[in-house]
Parts: sequence; structure tokens; C-alpha cells
Amino acid sequence: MRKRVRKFSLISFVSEIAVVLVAVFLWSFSANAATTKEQQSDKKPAQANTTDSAQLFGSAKIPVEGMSCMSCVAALKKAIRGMDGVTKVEVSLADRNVKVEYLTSKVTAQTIAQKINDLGYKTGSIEAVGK
Amino acid sequence: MTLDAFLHQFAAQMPHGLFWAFGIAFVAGILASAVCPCTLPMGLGMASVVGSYETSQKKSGFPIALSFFLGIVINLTVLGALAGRLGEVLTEAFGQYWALGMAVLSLLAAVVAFIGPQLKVAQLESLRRPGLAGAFVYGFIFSLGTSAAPLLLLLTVAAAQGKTESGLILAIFFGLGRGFPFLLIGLFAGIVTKLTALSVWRRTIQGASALSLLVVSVYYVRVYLAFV
Repeated sequence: MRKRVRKFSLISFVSEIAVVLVAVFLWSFSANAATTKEQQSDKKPAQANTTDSAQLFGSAKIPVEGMSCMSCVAALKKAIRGMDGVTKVEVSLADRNVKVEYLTSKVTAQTIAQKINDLGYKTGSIEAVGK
Repeated sequence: MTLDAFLHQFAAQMPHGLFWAFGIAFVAGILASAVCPCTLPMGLGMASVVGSYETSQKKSGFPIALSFFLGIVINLTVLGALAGRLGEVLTEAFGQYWALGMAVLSLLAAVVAFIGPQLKVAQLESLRRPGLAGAFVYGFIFSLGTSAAPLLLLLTVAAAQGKTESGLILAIFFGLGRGFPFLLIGLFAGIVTKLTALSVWRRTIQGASALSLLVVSVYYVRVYLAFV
């Protein structure tokens, strides 16, 4: 009986670890897909530059209130990076702002700020950053 | 209410005396815990560790919660003393590896919670001290990634009010407030576990504790992956 209980405990422990590993694999797969999308959107600006001069890039610095830890940084980075047209995101916890580079034909700084507000943070006046 | 809004509203009271300044810092610490998204998974992790400790070691789990709490307070004291270097722990590169460290620590805690009931009493006794030290390290590292930004905000606001000389003590009181909710969670988890001391529930609590800590580990893996 004791051996059976031990065997059951071992099986349940191994199955729990397996569930966690599968979950981590699936999440990393979706993270890789997001990275691939980012790489593709990184390639697009170069192509846009050479093929269509009307597609311009914009840079903005958006002050953000309410960020308290690295989880907030990760959540903001993931959400903004997933927006169509955003090519680069830098979130600064020390300066409490977000710097973004984006394709102006696909997204605006105001839209990005709205996305940040929708996540529960509070944005301030957007500052355009010259390249 | 965000921490920014709270500090802007009450910062003007700081020059009125040390009692006000330290009281505001303490409440700011509690508020920082309330608004931080890491508080919920870590609170779950803390309750799990305490519950598992109570059932497997048949001793009070409150010292574990107290060690975790002290880890937070000591960390914030150190950060307060090194206020000028806070920027170094607020970079994305640091955050990425902090999240990975938290994921690994939580996974280790889950493994210990799970194998606890398999160990003999003598082996459990030998794990008691490392358990307290482990909880302290857990609290210290947790605070490193989650408290530096609110502390920087508090010290900046205090400096604007002319309270630069008491920065270290403000950091200590902030740490006391920051860790206070986890102390309460540990105390509550210990009481609840004692009330369910029947052997039929013991294995369920241990299993649930291990699973909760695995969930916490996965949460931090997701945070790490967001930086990649």
C-alpha cells in the first residue's frame, strides 16, 4: 500500500512538472511568434524606405504613471510590441516613460498612449522625439 | 489610487514632522504592495510556503513569513542606503534576469513543498534553518525587482520636500509597509492550516501548495519571456 501511495505521488509530481513544461513551451512558442513578427516589422521599415517615401517613421516619448515593478515593464513592452506598426519599444522604470518608434502610416503616438491607458496606466503629454 | 497620486496628495505633510514622514512612507509601502501586480502571485506563493511548512514540519509557519518580510525590509534598507545607485536595478536587462531568478526560486520552493511529506522527521529538521534562510533570500530578491521604482519615487518626492537627510529611515518604514501584507498573509495562512490540521487535508494542502508555487514560477517565466 505504501509503495502504491509513493508511486502515485511520484506519478502525480512528474505529471505536474510535465504540465508546467508544456505550458512554458507553448508560451515560449507564442513569444517566439511575437519576436518573429517584430523581426518582420523591423525589416519592413527598410523596405518601406526604399519602396515608398510616403511611409514615414515616428518616434515619441510617453510619460507613464503607475509602473511599479518589472512585471509592469514586461506587460507594457509585450502589449506595445504587439501593436501593428510599432518597430521599437523601450520602457524605462527609472524615468517612468516609454519610448516608441513606429510607422506613422499604421499607428499614431496617441493610439499607443491609449493602449497604455487601457492597460490601467496613466499617460502624460506625448513628446515627439526627432531622429 | 496610484502611488504617484498618493505621494503627490500627502507629500506636503512630510515637512510637518518625522512622525508624518515615516507614517506616509509606511502607508506608501502598503499601497505599493496593493498596486503591484506581483503581490497576488507572491502572496499566493507565501501562503503556500507557510501552509506547506505547517503541515510537513508540524511547526509554526509564521517564522517563514517573518523571514520573507525581513528579506523585504533589509533589501529596502540597502536600497535606501544606496539610493544613488537605484538606476542600476531599474534597467530592462536587470529585470529580465530578475524574473528568471524568481521563476527558478519559485520552482525550487515548489519542489521542496512537494517532497516535504516524503522526508523523514530528522531530514525535515535539518531543512528548517535553510527554509528560514531561503525565505529571507526569496523576500530579498522579490523586493529587488518590485520595490526599487516605488522607493525611488518616494525618495524623489521626499527630496522635493526637503527631507533628504532621513532617506534611509524613510526606506526602512517603506520596507515595513511593503512587507506588511505578506506578513499578514503568512499569519492568516498559518491559522487556516492549523484549523485544517486533520490528516485527510494535509496531503491536499501540500499538493495545492506545490501547485500554487508552480503557478508562481510560470508567472515569472512569462515575465522573463516578455523581455526576450
